[in-house]
Amino acid sequence: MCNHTPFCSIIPPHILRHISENATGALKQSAFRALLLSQSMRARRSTLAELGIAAQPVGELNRTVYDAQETEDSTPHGVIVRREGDGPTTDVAVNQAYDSAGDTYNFYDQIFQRNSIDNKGMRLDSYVHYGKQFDNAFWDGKEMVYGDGDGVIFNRFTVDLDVIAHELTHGVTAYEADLAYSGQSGALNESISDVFGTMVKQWKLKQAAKDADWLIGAHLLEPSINGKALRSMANPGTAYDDPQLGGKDPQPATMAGYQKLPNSEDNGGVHINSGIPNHAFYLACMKIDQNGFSWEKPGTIWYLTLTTRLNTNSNFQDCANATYSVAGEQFGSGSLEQQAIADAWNEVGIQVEEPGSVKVKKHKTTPHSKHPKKKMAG
Amino acid sequence: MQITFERMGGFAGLRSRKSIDTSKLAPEDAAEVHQLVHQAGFFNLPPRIDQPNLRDAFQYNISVDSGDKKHSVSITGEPSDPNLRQLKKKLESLKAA
Repeated sequence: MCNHTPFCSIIPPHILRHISENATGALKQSAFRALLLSQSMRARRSTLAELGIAAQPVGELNRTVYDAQETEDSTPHGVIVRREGDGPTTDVAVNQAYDSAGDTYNFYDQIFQRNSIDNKGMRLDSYVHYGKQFDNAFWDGKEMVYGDGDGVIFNRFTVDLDVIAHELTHGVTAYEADLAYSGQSGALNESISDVFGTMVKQWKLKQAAKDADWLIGAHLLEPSINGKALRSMANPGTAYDDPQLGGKDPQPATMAGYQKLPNSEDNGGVHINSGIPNHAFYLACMKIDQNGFSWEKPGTIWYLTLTTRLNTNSNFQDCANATYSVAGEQFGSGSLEQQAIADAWNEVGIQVEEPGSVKVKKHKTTPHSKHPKKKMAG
Repeated sequence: MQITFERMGGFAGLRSRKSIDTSKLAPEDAAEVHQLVHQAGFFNLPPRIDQPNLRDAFQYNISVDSGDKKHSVSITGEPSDPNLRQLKKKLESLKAA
């Protein structure tokens, strides 16, 4: 971290805060960056709060798990089987839904100082055993709903933390950018859920970018299925190949494979084209620092993009431009981080545009080469 | 009566499609399907029945061709109309024919 900022963590947070509040230009940026990157939770919390991102007081985790008892109603119904603070039950699905909702809540709280889904302490309600052998999990606008899977192709949908974090992130997106759920904005909505879903998993496992599997739903497919998972962010289109799943994983990794589909097909292929921004996030993490953590620098860029830049109609290009501009603000214009973002999007076929429509050229040197030190303004 | 039933999307983003010719079904199944299409008022349903807050829900596309009438309906998630729900369940349970 000290390679990319003039302020190492040896400088106490209160001094950094003083500089970031009183200095101007690059010095202010550097101090702010150092504060944001500081391991001190208190410094991070107040930094974000000063930006008005997390002004809400930290609430309390409040989970309730319902057993839908195999009903498949348009509005889920069920009996309460585990409340906040209750010990584990004998039902695996109940405990998985409870634990993973807690991990996701803690991730958003500790990493982005976000107070639950709505940033206002919203309670987390989950329904398990929805429908009979139901092969799906979904977010209904208020709560998470999980099927048990058919036991032949799919395992129970509570099995993977990234799947549960994906569903909860749909809630976060709805309270933030509210990306329309069709076509390209819909695919971006899906990608945001995979991006934060995998971040939560990697955070829980304390995995660096290069050590993570970048798979979504790695335990969801039954052993007889030829596949590793439902999606691969590192290699979209390679997660599975099995006639029982309709053939090969259809996700494109780049814009060359973008599928323009009618709305009657998965809302215009929202679960297909999400492979492109998913892959851009993976590449950004690897280029920024493959030994680093996805939820730190890349996560901060994506979170600020989601919460402060994107809107209902944003498309891939808007997301690329926004992440580039956020990276410039957070880490410096022309920084390694900002160039890595441009390079990542470029590899998936999207050339980042700077304000004023100047396309950003591809970085010529290797991704992990040392970036020339920025000059500090006085 | 020719019916196509598609299930799209969901978390897994899979597509499945089956065609059903009611003349090739067991007589009791065929009668039930005809009755459920009628009961759901299928030909008068709007082409899209959406629940806009759902994410990762299945999308069901049902097309019915009765010879003199043809109609397609795209439904997001579990329909709230009990008659349409019954039709959907029946079509889900049938093998392609």
